[in-house]
Amino acid sequence: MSVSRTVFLVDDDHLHTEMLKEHLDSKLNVNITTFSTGEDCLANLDKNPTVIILDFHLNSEKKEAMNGLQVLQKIKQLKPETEVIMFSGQDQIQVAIDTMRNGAFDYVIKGESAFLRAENVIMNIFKGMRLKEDLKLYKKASMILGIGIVVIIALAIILYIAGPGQDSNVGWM
Amino acid sequence: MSEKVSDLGYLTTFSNGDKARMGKYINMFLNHAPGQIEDMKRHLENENWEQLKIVAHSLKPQMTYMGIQSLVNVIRDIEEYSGNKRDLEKLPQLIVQVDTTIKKAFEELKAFV
Repeated sequence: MSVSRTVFLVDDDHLHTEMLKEHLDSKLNVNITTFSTGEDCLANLDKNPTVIILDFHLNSEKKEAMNGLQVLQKIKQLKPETEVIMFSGQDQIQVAIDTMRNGAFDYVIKGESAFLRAENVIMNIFKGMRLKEDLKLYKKASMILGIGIVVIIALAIILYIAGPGQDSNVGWM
Repeated sequence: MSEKVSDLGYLTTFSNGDKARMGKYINMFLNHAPGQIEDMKRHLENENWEQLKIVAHSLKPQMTYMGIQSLVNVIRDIEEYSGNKRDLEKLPQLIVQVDTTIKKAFEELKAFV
């Protein structure tokens, strides 16, 4: 059974947010929370989102609102394990480079294919996480197995060494 | 009869033809976009290029979702010109074009919902 993970959507474009939320809801087993400002998202980081989809421009409603790059930097400072996907209508290479340099997992340009692309990027993140978790379990199991084998060998050696002496003792009795 | 300026093909595919969902998205657009167009005009009048760029940027993906393809490039130009503060003399004409076309699109979309 797969575990439901938390995804934050941060965007002041309400139509886009609603469409993306419904698309992800229908395709993935995730709990989605939406925020229209980066400040609101940062105030809720204690809910430990696995993935945050963050719009680059967040000041169409509140002029003084932090921009996506500032929010990304803050997220990476406070919760470095949270993966961030940067969303924007901005098809400028420099913006993409800046976001990736600051720790974003990927950069998605808003448009017709954006919803499908976001879904695929999230699935890749989850796949990577599952692999890491499996590897951790495998390492743990290997360690336990290794210890078990060492204990069995040690017991066998002890029994082998101690065995004949005990037998002879029993014989004398 | 004049040609339609909006096309619900994308929204239909996205919503799997669910008319209630399409109606919800269209209503969100109809509630929000007129205010954004007024904001554009105001920012142009006040020569507030930075805010004009932000509004254009926000409107751009909505044109794609509502199938108003003829405005996608126009709004991209508005965003680019105001963002880079170049070809500013072209902005009034571009904004008139947006205003005229989008009003027609509003009527078409209202007829759907």
